[in-house]
Amino acid sequence: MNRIIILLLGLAVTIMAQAQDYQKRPWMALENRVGLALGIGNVKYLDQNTSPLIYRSRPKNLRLFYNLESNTFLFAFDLDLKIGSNVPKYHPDRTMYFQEEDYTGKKEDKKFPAGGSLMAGRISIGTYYKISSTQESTFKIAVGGRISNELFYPQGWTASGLFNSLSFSPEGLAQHWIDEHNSITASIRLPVVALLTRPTYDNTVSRPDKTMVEGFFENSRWVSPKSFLAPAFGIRYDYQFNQHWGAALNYEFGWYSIDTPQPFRATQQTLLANIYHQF
Amino acid sequence: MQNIMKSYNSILRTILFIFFPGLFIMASCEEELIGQEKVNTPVNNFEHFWKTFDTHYGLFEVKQIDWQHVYNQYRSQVNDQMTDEQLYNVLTSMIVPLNDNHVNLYPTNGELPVFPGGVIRYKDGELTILKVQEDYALNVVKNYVTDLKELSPNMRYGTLENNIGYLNLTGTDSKKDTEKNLEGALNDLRQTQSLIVDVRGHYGGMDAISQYVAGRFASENKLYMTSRKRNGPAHENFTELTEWYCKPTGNYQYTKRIILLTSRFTQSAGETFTLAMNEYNHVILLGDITAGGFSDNPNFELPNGWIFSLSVGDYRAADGKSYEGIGIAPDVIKITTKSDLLAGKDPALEKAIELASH
Repeated sequence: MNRIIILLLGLAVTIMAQAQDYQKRPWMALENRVGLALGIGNVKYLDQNTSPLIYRSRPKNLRLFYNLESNTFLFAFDLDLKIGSNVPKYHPDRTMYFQEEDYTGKKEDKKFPAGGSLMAGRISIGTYYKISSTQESTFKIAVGGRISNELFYPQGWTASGLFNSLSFSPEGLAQHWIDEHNSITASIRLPVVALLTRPTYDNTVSRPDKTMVEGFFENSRWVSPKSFLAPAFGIRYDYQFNQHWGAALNYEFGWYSIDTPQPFRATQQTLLANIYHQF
Repeated sequence: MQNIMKSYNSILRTILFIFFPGLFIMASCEEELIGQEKVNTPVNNFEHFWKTFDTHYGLFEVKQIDWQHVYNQYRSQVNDQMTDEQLYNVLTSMIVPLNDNHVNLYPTNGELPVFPGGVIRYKDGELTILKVQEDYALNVVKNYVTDLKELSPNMRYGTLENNIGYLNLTGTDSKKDTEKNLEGALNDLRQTQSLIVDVRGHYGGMDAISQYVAGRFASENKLYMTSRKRNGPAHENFTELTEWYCKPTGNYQYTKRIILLTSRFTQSAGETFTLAMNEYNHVILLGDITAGGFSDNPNFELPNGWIFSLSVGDYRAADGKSYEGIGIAPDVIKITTKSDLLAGKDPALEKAIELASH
């Protein structure tokens, strides 16, 4: 991961050196933008359906994104992946001790860590209308909506924290151009309706004629923010090297509050370094 | 240069006034947003353990367990000065009377051993939890099935004397792997005159996979099991009854004579498989009574990080009877012993060959 970050920084420095041809560009001109972001995260959750323990993960993050932007509209597609180890926050070094014996009387003691992992993924599509799009203005706002499917898949000795949501969220973006190179963008969204899948009260997925995945998704239902509250906000700093290349740093925070089948609460913090190409 | 400095000052101000305060606020609020953990004390661990069984265990009625009485009996033995080992002794004493091999306690301090709920059996005149399987060994089976082919860690097959097929199942694989491997094995065994299906070492897996496997031997569609699971904190809170049918699966069904070899360690999905197979007249059960653990048993945790599993369901045979803690009795009892295995012999398999030869 460190090598990748160093490579990205090296690429950014190279592009900065070539940024002599930069000319003041119109804000939100028609353009395509494809990019890659790498970063780190911090996820904590407490799923009372399974455990009284707070779990913590510091996953590596990867995001691929594509934006299409005109003077009045912005279309965004994001694919996010998180992978990392996952442990109870206050019991990070748990060890299991098994005593085994076979019919010959041969005994074997086995000890191994009771660790786990977290995999999370999100695929989302958003469309936004720009309320202010004059070339002169340095402060702009865009509003729209985003459809996301998010899978939160911790693996380990319990099914703690597992959920999938297909949600629709109104979302607002505010952007401030500091000068021709630098800008700051803030975003906020809140799902208003979601198809939520959670383990059942009994925490099993076994069903007749069904695979585990089918058994899990059988327990899906439409919910409102009353049962699935998941506000998220982000803040992003962009540096535009030239008309074709840019880099960004963004911080995102999300909170999840799910009431079924028993309370689940989680926070996610993500810090990403982005590089993108415009054409 | 002055313009550049001005820009960076502006960025810095933005970061200072928006970004870092935001981070700080969020980081400091995290635990409030998530909730607090229960304090890790022996009393809290005992209370959480008892309460989770109370709100999730599915067999109180079936096993005639007065769980409140268990609380009253053990609560006075717990205090916040006790050691991990003393707490372990109390918790394991509470679950032994459940006679449920799907109930396990996994201490995570690396010092105390995993406590299996256990397969209970009279041994040397005493009721004992069996921890070591002494009635079946794959390496002894290989003395008889000399061409045993391993398709996966959970599935093997071969042939025996008198054109008898042998299929050994010790767990369940994914649906895709099961379909593929079973198809290959049953195609090779199609011309045999009879088949021995050995599930003496079947420790479980997915019931729906066992349902599919049983379907490869099904002559007709049959109800073989019902299940219901806890869906609320009261002992009578259960889901609606789910019916499990065994129906013919795969390209063809092997419906010639089948000897199903079972043992006290045939459990969980191995036992629900046995329930399904027991519905068919061309299947003879041979061996020992199965373990008596049918229900799904998800894991839960304690404030001290220990893990435990419990049976959340009430699984019954097609006749409505529960065999939890009892097991399925074979049509013919024949048990291989430890001394047989040490001598390289498997009398239960020999008996199966005899029955399959007729």
